Amino acid sequence: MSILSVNNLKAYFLTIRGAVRAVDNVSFSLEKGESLGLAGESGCGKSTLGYALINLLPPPGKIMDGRILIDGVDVTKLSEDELRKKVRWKKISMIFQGAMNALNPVYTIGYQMSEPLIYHEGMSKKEALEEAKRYLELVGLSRDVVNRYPHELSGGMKQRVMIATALILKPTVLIADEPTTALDVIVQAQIINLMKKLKKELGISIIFISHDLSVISEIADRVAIMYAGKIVELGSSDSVYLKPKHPYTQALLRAVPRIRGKKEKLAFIPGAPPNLIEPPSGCRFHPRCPYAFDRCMKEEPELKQVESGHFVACHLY
Amino acid sequence: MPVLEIRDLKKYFPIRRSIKEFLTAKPPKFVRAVDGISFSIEKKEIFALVGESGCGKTTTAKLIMRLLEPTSGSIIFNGNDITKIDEKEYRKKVQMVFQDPYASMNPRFRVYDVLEEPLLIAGIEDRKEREERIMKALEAVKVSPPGEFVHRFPHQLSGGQRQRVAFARAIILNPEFIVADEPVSMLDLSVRAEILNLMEEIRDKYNVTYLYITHDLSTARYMSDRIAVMYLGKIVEMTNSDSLVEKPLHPYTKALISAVPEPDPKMRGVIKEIPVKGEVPSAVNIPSGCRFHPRCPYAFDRCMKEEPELKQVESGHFVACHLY
Amino acid sequence: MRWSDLKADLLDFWFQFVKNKSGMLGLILLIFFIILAIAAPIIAPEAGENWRNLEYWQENPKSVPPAWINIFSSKKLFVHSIIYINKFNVTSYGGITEYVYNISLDYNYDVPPAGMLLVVNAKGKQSPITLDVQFTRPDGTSLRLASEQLYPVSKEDLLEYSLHFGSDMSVVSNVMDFARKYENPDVMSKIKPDVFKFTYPLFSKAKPGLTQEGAAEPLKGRYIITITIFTTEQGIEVTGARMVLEGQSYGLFGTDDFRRDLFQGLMWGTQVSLLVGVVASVVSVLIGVLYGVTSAYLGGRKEELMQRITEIFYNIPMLPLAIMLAALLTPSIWNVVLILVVFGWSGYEFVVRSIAHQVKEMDYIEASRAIGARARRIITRHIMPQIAPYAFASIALGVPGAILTEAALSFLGLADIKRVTWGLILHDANGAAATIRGMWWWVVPPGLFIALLGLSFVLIGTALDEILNPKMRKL
Repeated sequence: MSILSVNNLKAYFLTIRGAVRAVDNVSFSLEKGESLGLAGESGCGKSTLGYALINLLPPPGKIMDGRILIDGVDVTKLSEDELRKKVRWKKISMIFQGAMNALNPVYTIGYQMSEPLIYHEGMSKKEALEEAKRYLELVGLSRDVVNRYPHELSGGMKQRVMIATALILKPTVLIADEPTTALDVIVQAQIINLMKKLKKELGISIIFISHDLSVISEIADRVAIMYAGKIVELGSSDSVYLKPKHPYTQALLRAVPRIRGKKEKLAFIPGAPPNLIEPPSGCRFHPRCPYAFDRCMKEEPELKQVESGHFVACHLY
Repeated sequence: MPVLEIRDLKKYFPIRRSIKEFLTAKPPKFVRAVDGISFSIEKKEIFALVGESGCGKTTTAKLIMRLLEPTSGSIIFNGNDITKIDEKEYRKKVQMVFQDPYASMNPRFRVYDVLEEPLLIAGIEDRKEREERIMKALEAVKVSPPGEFVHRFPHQLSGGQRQRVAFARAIILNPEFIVADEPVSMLDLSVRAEILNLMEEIRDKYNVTYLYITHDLSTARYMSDRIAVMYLGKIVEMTNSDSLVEKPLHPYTKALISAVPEPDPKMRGVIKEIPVKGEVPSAVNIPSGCRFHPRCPYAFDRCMKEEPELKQVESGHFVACHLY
Repeated sequence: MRWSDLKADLLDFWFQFVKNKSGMLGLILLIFFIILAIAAPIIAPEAGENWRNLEYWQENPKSVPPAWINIFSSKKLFVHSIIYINKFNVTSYGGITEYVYNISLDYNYDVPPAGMLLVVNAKGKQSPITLDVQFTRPDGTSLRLASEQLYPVSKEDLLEYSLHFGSDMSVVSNVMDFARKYENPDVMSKIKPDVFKFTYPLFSKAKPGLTQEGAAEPLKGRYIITITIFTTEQGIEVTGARMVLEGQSYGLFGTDDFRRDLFQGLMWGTQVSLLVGVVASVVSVLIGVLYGVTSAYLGGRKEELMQRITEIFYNIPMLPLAIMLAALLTPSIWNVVLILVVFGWSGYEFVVRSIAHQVKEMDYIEASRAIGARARRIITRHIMPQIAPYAFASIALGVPGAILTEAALSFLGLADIKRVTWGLILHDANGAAATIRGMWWWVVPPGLFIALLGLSFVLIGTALDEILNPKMRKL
């Protein structure tokens, strides 16, 4: 059974101007020990999806429809209390964007890491601190970081602390929202290495959200490409990166500059992502798609399997 | 004659001392943001300055733009020391594009006002002439039809359009030299190429020379003719972009390149070798000798004592490393 | 920013303001006060300069509540009235000129007038006249109130003859004679002529108790007061007269101990309050803005120094120093404004400097500098527009404070005594122990006006803040 299963999820932001359909009918599943990359540009809904999974949508966001099954339990139906006690951080935890700034500057690292242990597991302060030290080592930091304050650490170190804190209750699913975006390239590589190591050693499933396709390819087993609130392509990294089917994916891959290999002319996609309050009719990508034809303007394509394990939402198939 | 020449440029920022330090007469400390760099850029060249945060590249840009005064060293533009050039004239010839397309424009200004500002400052009195030049600049950056966009506010434009307007502002006075500070790092992937291509077009049509500043080696390689890698205020390697990426000499450059991810899933699962330890130290306490030595896997005795000079080891390929 | 932009912005702002209920309420209140301030010189042109001139107010009743109090009280108090006589019935015979006039008075009150005054005007040679006043009551009884000679006082080129009924012994004695016919002899014997409330027997039912305030029953109906003036001298002509029946209530807001019409005082005071409030607030904010922007722009040591100065001003306690200053300086409106400004500007400076700093760090400032913008352009085109919303809201919100402080200073006796201000009215009221004496009309209206004018600015300022604030956040 899949560890995480999302069915027809709709998460909208109910603003005065109308409902922003940030996540519009998204379905996918995540197996144990698997890492899924959610890739897309700004405004495609990937971060919103991440927040929806852990039910932390900032107001005026709301889950309108759909189910999120974690270990078979539909978490959209649980009360806030139950979510807090049983699901969040214990089953599924999250590393937020710009997480380095999520650390409280007036408390030591040890104090902040111990909090979930004391609250959820009922550990004593001493036990919790010991566990915190263990996890710090796990993420490659020295044990005495427990006594330091956030401002004494570098960006990379703080990110490691956030990862350790997210793992400390041994969740089965970890959502990482742009965990490397604010970091320098060498530190970024170190963090990616760390996550690969953790995936192997702890066997956790990771949902890796990023706009950086290269970073996702390093770590994800499967990739979902999102556009305008929908998943347009879903498949194993191999198939999506090497044999992209959706025009958007193809264009996106051609827009990534490569450092190695032959220098090729970079492509770009003319136009801009659509307004999510009133998205285009039919296929949301049709105004920018070089292959768009009649049907694309009228009918929204479904996410269909075109090869084993490779799904595309496009009328070309 | 090169368009721009930097000679041994240094910029130190003093750190405020605590009372205790003041009383014990400790020598003042400095952040040595730029610590003696030299390079030159030829006409119509795109020269990239690459490095991680804190390496001094943005400070270098500000020095060239005369937003900061150098602590020592000189900047020579078209053969003249810029401190001797009339500031107004200099600013007409040297322009800048900033990283954040939204923050670089006053949110209360319309596109027209944003583009009019440089013209007003340059003293173009005739309203009609200003209007013409604004329309032409927008056409040049393919914000079309210009009439539709001039009355919009920045928040009514997409990221790509904003950056185009930023370029329009930069070229409206027909500059010779543009400093582009991370012009695409805040834009979406699908839009980046648009702007990078635009930069090339501008170079070809208007004979503009670029200093392209970025932390992203991939775009640096794509865009530039030559690349200089900076680390903690100094240039550690400098050569044409292909050679840098294919045959990097400095250990830091090698580490940078190996750290760049690529959308090649075959590399997944393999934990990369990043031949470097730890993180970039603070620019206040710069290591002795070669500033990279604490992290360098090849460091030996000499590296701790003596700072290596930037020397030419192959034709046009410069490195600052005791290995060579 | 072009004019069309500004116009559009203003219109947009106006539409939003209209929707804001509290803002509109504040605006309506403000308009009311502005009308009051403008009306003052039109409705009561002389009241302003004559506030200290007690003679001007002579014909008002003393210390009486407003006329509309009759709506609420069961006992109807006599409303002050002045009856003007312009044309007499003139007859001449044998060297005597006789001027006759019948005043018809419909009396429906429970409490009679506090006093009576007759003033006769004449032109020509100074000579005495003979006055005869006959008082006919609705029940048919009548008496001769006065029959005496009056001597003139010249007022410019007019001659003025006046008779204060209550202070004239012969009048009092006539009334007492009349009262004796009906009153209880015991009560009569206890009456002291100099404190005799002579109007009670005149206007009450003819039965025992008519001389006593508590016991007298009002006689309502039509009274006829016949005024006959005889002159023997040729070369003198009576031009007019007026009968002042001193009410127990007067006008819109009553009178004070000095017989001054408090409504007129309040109207004129509106001018001062608005002037002082708005000017002090505007100037304070202006100084705060200029200082704050300059300080933020200079930065470094110069800024530190400027900040220290601001802090000193901010921390000086106003009241003790204001009292000191007011004692040293000549009391005048402009000195009050000066004091308010000196103590007001520093508060704004802190916030303005903070905003200016935030704006200064923005990329677009750097971009402007990179294109060669000088300090002046950056300050006027980029920094000031961000500060303007805060400045306007502050001006509005600063006015109530200024008005209150001015009132406090006036109350303490530190302000310009030549101009009437609300604070001054309160000061006088306090000095006359008005509150203890139950003279609510002297104390409540000025206080209420201060509060309402302050409120109007607060409402407007809050509305401004609400509307402009989100834009302010568009740094």
